Amino acid sequence: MNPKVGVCSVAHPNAEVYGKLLSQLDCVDLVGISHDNIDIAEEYAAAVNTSARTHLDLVDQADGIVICSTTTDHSKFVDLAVSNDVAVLCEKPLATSYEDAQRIRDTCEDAGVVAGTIMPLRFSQPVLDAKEAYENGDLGQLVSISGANRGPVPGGWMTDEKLSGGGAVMDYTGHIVDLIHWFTSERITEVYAELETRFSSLPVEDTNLLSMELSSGVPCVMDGSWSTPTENAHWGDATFTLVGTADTVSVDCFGQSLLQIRDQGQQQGIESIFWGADPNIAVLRDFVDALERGCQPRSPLSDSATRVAVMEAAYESAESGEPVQVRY
Amino acid sequence: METVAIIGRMPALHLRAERYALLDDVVVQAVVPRDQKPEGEMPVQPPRDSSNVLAEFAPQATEFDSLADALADSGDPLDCIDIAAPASVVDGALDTALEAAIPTLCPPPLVQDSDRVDDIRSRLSGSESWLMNGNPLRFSRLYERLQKRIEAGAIGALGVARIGRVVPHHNQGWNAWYVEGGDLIDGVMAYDFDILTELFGPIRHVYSRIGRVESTVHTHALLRFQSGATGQVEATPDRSGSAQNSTIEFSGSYGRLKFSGEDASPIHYQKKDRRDPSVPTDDCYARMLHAFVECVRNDEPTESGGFDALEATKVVHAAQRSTGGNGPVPVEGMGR
Repeated sequence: MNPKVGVCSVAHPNAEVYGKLLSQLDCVDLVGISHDNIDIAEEYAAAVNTSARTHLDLVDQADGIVICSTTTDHSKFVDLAVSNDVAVLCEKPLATSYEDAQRIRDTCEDAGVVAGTIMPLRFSQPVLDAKEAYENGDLGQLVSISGANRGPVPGGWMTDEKLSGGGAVMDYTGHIVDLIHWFTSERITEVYAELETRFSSLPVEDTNLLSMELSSGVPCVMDGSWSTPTENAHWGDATFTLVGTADTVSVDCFGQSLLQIRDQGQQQGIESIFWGADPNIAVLRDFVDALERGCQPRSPLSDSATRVAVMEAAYESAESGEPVQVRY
Repeated sequence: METVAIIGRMPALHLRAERYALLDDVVVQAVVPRDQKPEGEMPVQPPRDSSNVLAEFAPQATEFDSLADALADSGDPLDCIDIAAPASVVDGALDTALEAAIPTLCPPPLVQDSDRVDDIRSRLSGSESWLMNGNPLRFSRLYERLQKRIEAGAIGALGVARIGRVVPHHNQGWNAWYVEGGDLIDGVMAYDFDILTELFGPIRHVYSRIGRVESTVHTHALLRFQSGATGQVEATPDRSGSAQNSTIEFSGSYGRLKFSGEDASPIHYQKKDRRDPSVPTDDCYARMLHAFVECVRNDEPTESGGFDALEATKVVHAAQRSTGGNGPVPVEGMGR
């Protein structure tokens, strides 16, 4: 019998993606979609031929839930899942503060539930190839790491600091920092941030340039800005470069793409279409596999709090204008 | 007929002599080759015997040990001086040139010591001679297009400017492709600081880090412009000899300009490395040297002149100081 999984809240734009993918996977039964507003839940559920449920009903029916709520609601839904012995796969970032992230992490660890966060880049095949090269010593000694993960200025709650915790830092820092931590098994110890609002008139930052240092002293730099124009051929990008003494490897996670140029119809214009292996499917398969085997997913929730600590340090740096030590 | 003295290393001497030879009524009269030994972290191009190059492209030139010797003993008076290297390689040459009051072409950074910026500024202000910014990127068609687009409002207000370089490059007509030694900041990023200042205005402060293990180096710098916009410049040495992956990206409030070095190779061979089809008569170096000679003939510098190179020099000094764990370093404090 397949594990039963539901989507908890559709506040996050990726809820639609995960609902659709879960409905298509043979290895899982999508048992429903919940939302604070049941009418909205019904709209999403109907699109993938599943049931609209209340949150309580969902955790009663499911073995695991994919939490796609606002960031501030992650804590509430994780608590709900844990109290019902339901596994959790949570959108990023885990929380709006390191303190909250630690509490969520500890709650899951104490309860012993299967708990992960959605980190698709850990499943990107070029990333996996680069990680293998790094671990095999093909790059020699690590000299530096650079990354970029950008997209357009989003709308809705993601630009509301009370619900998201901030702007581009909260949205786009996590994936690159996660790869840095995951590849090196080290932690970022120092962060210097250049944050500003330049692409919009929003009350949160949309430029997000971070200069960081690993515990080994290796420098890292990343751009996680909301700088992608809405007319861009692709939603954004995710790139990652490791410079070593023996070789340099550069990864373009969505580089396997083709171009569509269309004069008529609803999708007029130029669109870049990714044809590589979809890492989102791999995230869900991994979660389902973890559920069945009772182990932690490839991106365990326990790793998430450290990323929030880096984000907090970025804001502190922007405030002070100085590099700051990350407090774990 | 204009007479010129060149000071620098191979391949800069080669490149300059070859291009001056293509200009009408210009004679390279003196050459001051610098030691090929690298002082800094940048790989220097394989040395080539300067006498062979001179015989081929500058048969009338005499080699000298110093610029002062060239000024004193080169026969006919020199009309202009081409300093073809950053200050870390030819420190002192600019002083000699300014004292001689001869029109000079010099790239940023003009001086190594930030305490000397004011001195150079006052000498430029009071001198009868003039200095032209010797950043070849300012004479590249690519940058000319970028500038025109930006001035036409293609991207709106700048949000993030990003430049990434793997150096040295192959011969690239759109780009500065040789490195004369020194470090990544004064040998490579200085040109980008200069261009970014030209395109987007003064830089308020710089924060930079260097990763270095054995001979492998990577440097990054985060910039904050006075406008509030941000920037990121990265540079790393190439070890394969085949990289052409410079990237330039300017993202603004409603648009983006993006360039990849991969796009600058419009001709490919199956059995050869890709090459930029620019020719020595028309690449960014040739355009720069032609503009320089025209300014010498008209006895007036370009609008930017040496003061722009001085601004880039201050950014270089701020970036170098920041790498020592000194946090973000204000550019305005450098030499003022």
